[in-house]
Amino acid sequence: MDFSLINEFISPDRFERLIIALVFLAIALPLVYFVRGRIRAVVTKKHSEHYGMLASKIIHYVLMVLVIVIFLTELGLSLTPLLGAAGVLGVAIGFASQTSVSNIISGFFLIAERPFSVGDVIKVGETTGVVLSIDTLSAKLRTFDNKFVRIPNETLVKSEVTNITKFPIRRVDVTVSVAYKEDLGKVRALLMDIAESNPLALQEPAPLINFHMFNASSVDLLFLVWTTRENFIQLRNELNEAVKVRFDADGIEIPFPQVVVHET
Amino acid sequence: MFSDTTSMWEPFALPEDTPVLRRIGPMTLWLLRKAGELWIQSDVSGTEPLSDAPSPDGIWKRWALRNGDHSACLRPFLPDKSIVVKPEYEIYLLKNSHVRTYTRVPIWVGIDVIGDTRVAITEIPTQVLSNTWFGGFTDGELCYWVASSARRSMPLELIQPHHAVCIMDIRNQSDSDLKVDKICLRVERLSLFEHNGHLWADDTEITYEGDEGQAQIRNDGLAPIEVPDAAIMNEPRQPHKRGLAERAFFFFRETGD
Repeated sequence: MDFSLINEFISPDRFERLIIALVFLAIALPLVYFVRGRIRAVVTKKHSEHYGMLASKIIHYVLMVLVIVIFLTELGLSLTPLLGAAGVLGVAIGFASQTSVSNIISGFFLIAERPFSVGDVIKVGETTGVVLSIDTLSAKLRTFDNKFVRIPNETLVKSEVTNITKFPIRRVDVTVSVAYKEDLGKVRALLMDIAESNPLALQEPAPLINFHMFNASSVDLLFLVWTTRENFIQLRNELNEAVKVRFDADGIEIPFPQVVVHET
Repeated sequence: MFSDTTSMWEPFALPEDTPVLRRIGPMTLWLLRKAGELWIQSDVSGTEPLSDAPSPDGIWKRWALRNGDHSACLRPFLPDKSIVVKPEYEIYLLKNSHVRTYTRVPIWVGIDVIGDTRVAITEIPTQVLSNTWFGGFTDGELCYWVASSARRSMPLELIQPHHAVCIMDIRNQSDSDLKVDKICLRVERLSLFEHNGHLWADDTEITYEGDEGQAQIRNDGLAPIEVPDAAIMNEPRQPHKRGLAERAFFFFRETGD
């Protein structure tokens, strides 16, 4: 086997450069990951997890570009033709990966506009979950039944996103149907008592009982009670159960549709 | 139960296997030292227990004690969050006027065990307080709601053992009248004092200068002028911040559907 060509290409000088470049890489890469981790921890502690993740990503990409540039320079490769080739290659790749580029740019919009942060509960289409991360191409969610959902950034920018935990307080809406014969004044008093006796219900903003509609077999009221976002589900359950218990105890009829079948 | 109300804050022995009963306002508290543990059961329903024995249906909370922890002590605390209170009646403060108001705030009872050193174990509210929101729909803070209103005077017979009297001096130094229908009292910055079995907090001076909702809030940390000889029982949960401009008044403008 003729190794002369290889020997000619890997001259002692080039071999030395290769070793230096590899040593550099061996030191620089762990350092980049260490710095990224530290930056994330410090920024998260000082500000929020969202900014921690953002800062660590920026630092990571900047440092990785630097490492690659230094590595190639150490190898003795000129960057000018490489950048030229990268330009041509970039156009080709750009056409081939429009979706990915769109997701990356959408990711920047999401980070800048900040409609939600890591840890928020959001609803996108039929999916509701906790935001685990906002990455270059997609955001990751954990649903409440513990499924992992990946939503492309472009989808998040294009579609309606509801941030359920953006604000500190939320309103529980309970639709209460009572029979036409019932005294609405008494029903209102009962509902107010239910709200006032529940420690999860906020005194202010005050609970409200709004007339909703005359339904086919019932008068529908909207029972609106405010609570903190953490207690929303618990209060919703407790209010619905309390309405049933109190109405049963006080003889208030909750009508339901009935079908009468006549046998002929 | 006690020779006078002051003695409820003094140390008492915890005999082995014998429940110790304490009643403070609507709260009934049992403490039981058993097999190196302290068992605590509380009831804040306000109902009179059928006997001095702990309820068999009650829930005990248990702490492992150190060797020599054979006595305990109760300590009064103000609640851990700010209190929103309504004046006795809606009042307008003319510019450059001021009003002094008194509010009864239900205290929390802290339980310390005493051995070689004294260690705080837990705090229990004497009364379950409702929560309320003080601020706008997009920002604000969770506070407790006190049903008893801020009064222009505080007859001593109204002060129960589980109450601390908090005093607010509200000054209107703005160019317009100030409508006071709800005030946020930052009890976590107040010290507690005791005088003749009654608990008092230091004065809160609220000065409104026209910035909507915001006011300068100042606490001096001294016994109020009504009871200048009162003995200090507890320091504030949070340190005093001098000349702090904070939201003290707020009015919701939108609550409908």
